[in-house]
Amino acid sequence: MDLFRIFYKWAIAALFVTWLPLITGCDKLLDAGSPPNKVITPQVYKSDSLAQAALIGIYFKMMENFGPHNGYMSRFPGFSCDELFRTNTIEQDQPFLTNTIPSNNLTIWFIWTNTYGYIYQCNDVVEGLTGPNSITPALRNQLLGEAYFLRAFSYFYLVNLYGDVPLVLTTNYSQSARIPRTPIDDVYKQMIDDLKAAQDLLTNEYVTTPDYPTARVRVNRLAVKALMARIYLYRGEWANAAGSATEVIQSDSYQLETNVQQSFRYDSKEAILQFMPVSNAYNTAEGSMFVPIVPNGRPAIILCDSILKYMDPLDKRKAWVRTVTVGGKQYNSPYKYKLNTGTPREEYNMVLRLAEQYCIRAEARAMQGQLPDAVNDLNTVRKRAGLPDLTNITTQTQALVAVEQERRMELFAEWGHRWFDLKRWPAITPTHPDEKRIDEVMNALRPATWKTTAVLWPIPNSEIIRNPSLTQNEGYN
Amino acid sequence: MKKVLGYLVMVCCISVVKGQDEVPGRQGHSLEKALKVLKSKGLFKDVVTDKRLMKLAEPVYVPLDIADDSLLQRIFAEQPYLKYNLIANRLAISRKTDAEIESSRAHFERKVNGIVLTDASSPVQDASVQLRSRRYGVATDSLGNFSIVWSAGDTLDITHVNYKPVSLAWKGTGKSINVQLVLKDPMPPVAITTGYFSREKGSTAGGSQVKVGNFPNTDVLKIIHENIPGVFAPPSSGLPGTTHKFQFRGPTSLGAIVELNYRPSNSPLFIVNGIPWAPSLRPVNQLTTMVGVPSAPGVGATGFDPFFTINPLDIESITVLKDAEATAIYGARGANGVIIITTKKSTSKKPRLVVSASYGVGYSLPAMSLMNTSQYLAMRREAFRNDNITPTPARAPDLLLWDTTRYMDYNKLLLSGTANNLNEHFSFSQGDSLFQFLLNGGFSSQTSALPSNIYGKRWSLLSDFSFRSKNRKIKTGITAYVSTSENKWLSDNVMFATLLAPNAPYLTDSAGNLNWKDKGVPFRNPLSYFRNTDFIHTGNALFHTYLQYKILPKLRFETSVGYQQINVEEENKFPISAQNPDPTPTGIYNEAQNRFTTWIVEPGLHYTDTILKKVQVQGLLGASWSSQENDRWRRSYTGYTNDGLLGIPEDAQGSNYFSDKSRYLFLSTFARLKLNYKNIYFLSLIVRRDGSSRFGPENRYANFGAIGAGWIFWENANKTSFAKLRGSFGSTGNDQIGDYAYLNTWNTAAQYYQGLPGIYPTGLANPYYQWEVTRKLEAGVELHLNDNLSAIITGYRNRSKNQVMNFLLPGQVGFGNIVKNFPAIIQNTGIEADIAYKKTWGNFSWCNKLTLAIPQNKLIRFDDLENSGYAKYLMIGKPLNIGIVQRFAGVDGNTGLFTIADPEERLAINLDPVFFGGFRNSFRFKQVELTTYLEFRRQKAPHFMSYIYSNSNLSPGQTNIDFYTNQPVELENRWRQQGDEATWQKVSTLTSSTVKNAIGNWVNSDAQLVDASYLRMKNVQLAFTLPDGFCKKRFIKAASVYANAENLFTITPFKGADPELQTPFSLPLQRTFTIGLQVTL
Repeated sequence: MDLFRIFYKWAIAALFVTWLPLITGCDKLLDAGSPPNKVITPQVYKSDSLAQAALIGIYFKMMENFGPHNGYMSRFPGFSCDELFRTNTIEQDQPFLTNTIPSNNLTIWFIWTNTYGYIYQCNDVVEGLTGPNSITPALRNQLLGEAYFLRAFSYFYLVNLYGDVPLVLTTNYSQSARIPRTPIDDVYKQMIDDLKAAQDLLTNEYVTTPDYPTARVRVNRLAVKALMARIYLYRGEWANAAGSATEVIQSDSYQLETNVQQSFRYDSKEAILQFMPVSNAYNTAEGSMFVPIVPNGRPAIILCDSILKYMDPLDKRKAWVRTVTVGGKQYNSPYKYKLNTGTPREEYNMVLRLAEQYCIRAEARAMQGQLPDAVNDLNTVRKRAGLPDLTNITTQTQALVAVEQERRMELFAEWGHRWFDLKRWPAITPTHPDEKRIDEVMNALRPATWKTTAVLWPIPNSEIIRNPSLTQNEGYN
Repeated sequence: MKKVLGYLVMVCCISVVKGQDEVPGRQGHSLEKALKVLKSKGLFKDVVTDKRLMKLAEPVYVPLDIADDSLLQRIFAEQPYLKYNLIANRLAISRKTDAEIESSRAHFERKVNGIVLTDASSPVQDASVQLRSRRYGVATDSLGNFSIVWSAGDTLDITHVNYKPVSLAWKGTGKSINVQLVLKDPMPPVAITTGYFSREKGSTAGGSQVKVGNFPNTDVLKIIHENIPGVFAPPSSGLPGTTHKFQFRGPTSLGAIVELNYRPSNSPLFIVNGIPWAPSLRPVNQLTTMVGVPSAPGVGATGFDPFFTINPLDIESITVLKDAEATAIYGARGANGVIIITTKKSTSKKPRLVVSASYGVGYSLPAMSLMNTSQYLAMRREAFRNDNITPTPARAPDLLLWDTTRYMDYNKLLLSGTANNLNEHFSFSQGDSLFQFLLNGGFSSQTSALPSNIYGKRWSLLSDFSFRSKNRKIKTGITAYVSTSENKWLSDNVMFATLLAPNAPYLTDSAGNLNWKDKGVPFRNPLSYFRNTDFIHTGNALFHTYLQYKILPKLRFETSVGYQQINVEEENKFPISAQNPDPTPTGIYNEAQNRFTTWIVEPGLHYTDTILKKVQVQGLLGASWSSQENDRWRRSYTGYTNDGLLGIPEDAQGSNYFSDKSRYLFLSTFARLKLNYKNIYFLSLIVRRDGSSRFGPENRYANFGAIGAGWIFWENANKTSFAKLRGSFGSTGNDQIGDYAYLNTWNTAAQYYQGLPGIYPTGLANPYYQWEVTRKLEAGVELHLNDNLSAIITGYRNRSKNQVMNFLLPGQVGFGNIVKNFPAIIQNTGIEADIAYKKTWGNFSWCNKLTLAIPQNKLIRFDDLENSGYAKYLMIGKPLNIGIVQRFAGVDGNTGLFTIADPEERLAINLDPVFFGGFRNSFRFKQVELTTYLEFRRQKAPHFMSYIYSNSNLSPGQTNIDFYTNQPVELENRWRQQGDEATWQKVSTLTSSTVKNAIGNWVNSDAQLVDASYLRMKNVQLAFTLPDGFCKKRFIKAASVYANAENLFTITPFKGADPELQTPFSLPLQRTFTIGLQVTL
């Protein structure tokens, strides 16, 4: 009998336990909360540490895998011009080596979508920190400034690779999904605006952490000025370019390493901005791509012969070229980064460095007719390379040829400098007024496949399918 | 509150007391005896009657001690068929006229309560209790109880598909009857399964059920695949414990574009002992194994299947619910059907111990046949010739440096081993009418044909306990299933190693060390794979308890609570010893854990009544709440310099960590009403309101409903044969879109930047998406002729709309897709047949069963398909599972390259099976039974060469870093010189764009999709049951021995790969031969 009493008590209890909540609090029973180990957007800009993490997340995504800001800019633009070549054929690289990139090429799609991914993160931080938030003002300024810089930095590569690109400044997909290609001038205007905003928000000091007290891996005001100098140069605003470069050079924060072998190390004194690798598998993406695993192995990616041909025999920067002989054949490959492996961690990915600023100022001064000043800047770079001062530079053309030579020797296999330079410079001996330097060079290098329209990569066709208001670049379908 | 509770308790107390054992009927006298007594008392002198009339008499309960004039009147008032006349002291008894009987019938009806039990005194649910003359009946509830108004003179037929029928003649005595049913002749071990709802004759829902036999079977999904019409679940590899592909009435959901071939969003809802099976069909391992990357969708998305932890010998039945009405019972997540797996229950009366053991050997089915050395060398030389390149030692070490007389058949090296399969199981049960208990335990182990100790082992323990109160008001029970498994796999697909050049150097040196190069030319050693081990340990604990309480005779309360935890731990190793020593390698160690925790509570109120005397009503008001949590992490340690230190975190140079947690809640309330008129017409109505935490707060709830009707339009007199029409219509939902997709979530960066943690947004969030709805329409005809023939033919049309899908967005928004509703419509139509026939000639009997499904899937609507990212994969009016290809125009006789006819033309080739099914035959002569199972399927599948051609590293003629350069012998029929009419294009050592484009022509053409139909003898089994006399002498109750062969032969036009697996680089299935013994003590 007692047993039955216990049982019916169970029954009644079960009835109430199970039915009452159903009647009263349905919503609570269905509230799965937010994911236990994930953050949701409303929390992010209410906490200093989360807001900082959101910004660090941008650097992390850029460095997480090989991608547009981790190695690819040193590789694919190099294939597109007279800088890099391969010793074997692989599917991924081949179209770049013949300047016949199909619009369904995965690499251009990967670069496009990943760069817009970083831009989304920047937009999120900008929206979060310009809207209502509860972040300490000093931290807010630092984070916002970095986000502005990284957004401009990302757009810089997009416009130089693809031409007009949609200017997306919001995280709202219903707006951004339909944006057509924005004229390149407007995109540049936005970059300048972003950089100006960043320059006001940031200081000349680097943000450091106890683990990395000297690392220059976060954007500071001088990095902003350095990118501004480059953008003004690309836009032909010579005085502004020279002015910004001067500010960086005169800040006394940087020195050219006298030993060129030091230039790309984590403690390089000429670094204005470096990205810190996050993977344990390699030091830098460039080192991993360009330096063969086997000590005397044949490199897969090699430098075009012309670079070494034009390099002065005395040039100390020969140390940036790795030369091996395999099977009786000599191979030269980029060797700015020395390490292929993950340990020891000694190299960071160099983004902006002082030598480029000298080159920028030299070019800007030359364009303004300040030839001696221009030559001075070039000589500063040459001196570090162990080369004698330039003499006999009397005309602007000579000065510009010298600038090209110096930029080529200094900046090869780095962030696509050569490809971008060739595209913006006019031909030295033009056969028609609009001819660009790139046509001159590529017609000589790849006469069979080069077309003027190849200066821009195609817009990925899957993007055009998904956003029909996008148009394809000329020369592609 | 307290008062109310107190009152309720009191009421229940009283009802419990009142409900104590029913008072047995008073002792009555026969009419004859009563009349004798009255005669002796002198009420009359003589009786005039016919002896035969007295058979119609009912017992007399009227007290006879006080004899007065009204006594006779009172006695005959209780006689339904007899009347009397007292004329001059002579009592004349005669039969009432029919009109008189009819008019007094109401007086002779009794309400009877009863219980139907087995001979072991456990209740029989869903037994049909029917009045013979009036075609009116009821079904017993889960406690075996029934209540019926029984008319005088009528016979009560109690039938159940599994038991011998019992008939009871009307007796005026008592109000309670107790019926015991005896099982029909035991079915042969592999029984002709009965359709699920045939046991409940009045069901209007569509579904099938299979009772699992007593002989071991490898896994649960295989049983479903081989027995349920319309379910197509082939394995994805021959490795023990791998996931199955699964198709069930076609895909209903588009899902993400990357999922077009796999569609986890189309998995049915699996319920094991009442608990939703959290991983569904997804692989639960996280680390990459020899069968692929578990997280990546696609055909290759294979991994460890947690169903491996369930021992098929512990399963009582598997029920598959298909149509709207059936699935509506189990929740709105039934858009893709519901599969209910129930473990064995305690039923036995006497103590019973069943012990079984089996041992089998397995041999690998043939893999893709490859070139021998002379064919290979000729092919390579030809490739150089085709390219006008002179082979140099650097380019062609296999031709110029290596020994060209050496030959090794790597298929033979890897697959010529013997697999061992061992299975041991015991089952103990005992019980009485109130308590029942069952304990099962089992161990099984399977290995593979690979020359390494690859295995899957499982230990399982099942216990089931049930209790029923004496007054039959309370029933409760608990089932606990605990199992653990250990699988040793490899972490890399060793099958690719079969492509190593057949004249490659010896794999080991004289000291047994792995050889990695010959003459300075490196290659990847096939034996190295066996050092990259992968361990998967799985624990599965499943508890289910229920309580049924009869509040009122017509009202029952039921609640069940379930809990399950599946825990998967993995480790895999890439030791230095398994890597080419040339560029100093380092070791890698990965570990991972994945845990699923599920709770479910399901209360319900059941109401049974009869209205208007002829309509039986069953009502149910229920609710269900479940919570599923998933907690997983994985960590990778890299940079070990010593194999001995592998796995020690401190000695790793780098590490990488990932973790993820999610929670999923589901709540639903529902009401069901079932009406049964005279056991001829049936109607069922279900409405439900469901909520899922996978939707934003505004869109969590949705209403679904279903209606079903059935009509028995023909039936023979004793109810053993009948024909039925049934149909149903209703809606179900789908919420398989992943957790938290409505929230803007951020992930934690796997590594620090500058020593600082980072977070990044995981994707775009859409708080507005809603349930995906599938409307199902189904009709069926069922015919049952005694036990000899049963035919069930079903047709259905399901339409899924408001598709929740990962809609593709341009990359410029930052992410490639967003989850949202899209007005696409997918239709599934089809016909399924399930026909069983049984014939007996004396000692010989023959049973057969044919299952057949002809599914058809169609994309009805997709707005602006041409301009969407789906244009490459989908076509309006075609199935989702298609290959959109160009017309192949053969190999150009001049260039030796593949060509296509018209670059603009697009063909859609259906990759779904056109039809499939199985044919089971069972021949029995006395104690010997032979059972065969044939499986057939008509389908198209990618040609095995497409796996070679679509991997640019394996392009025929070319070398690659591993030196996996051998090719299928199929390529012998290749283009060699001008004018050749060949099947395959010329071989080349280069990856020039012309060769590559030509390969693209073939890969994107209809030539790539070939006939993969097959007919396979899946199973042949010979069983012998030992004679009773033999057993009795040895004090055992029963014993049988059997021999079993699997995958005996296959007839197929499909070459190079198994038509069931379809991919040439997965471990082939086994042909196994097993012997076994089963003893009942």
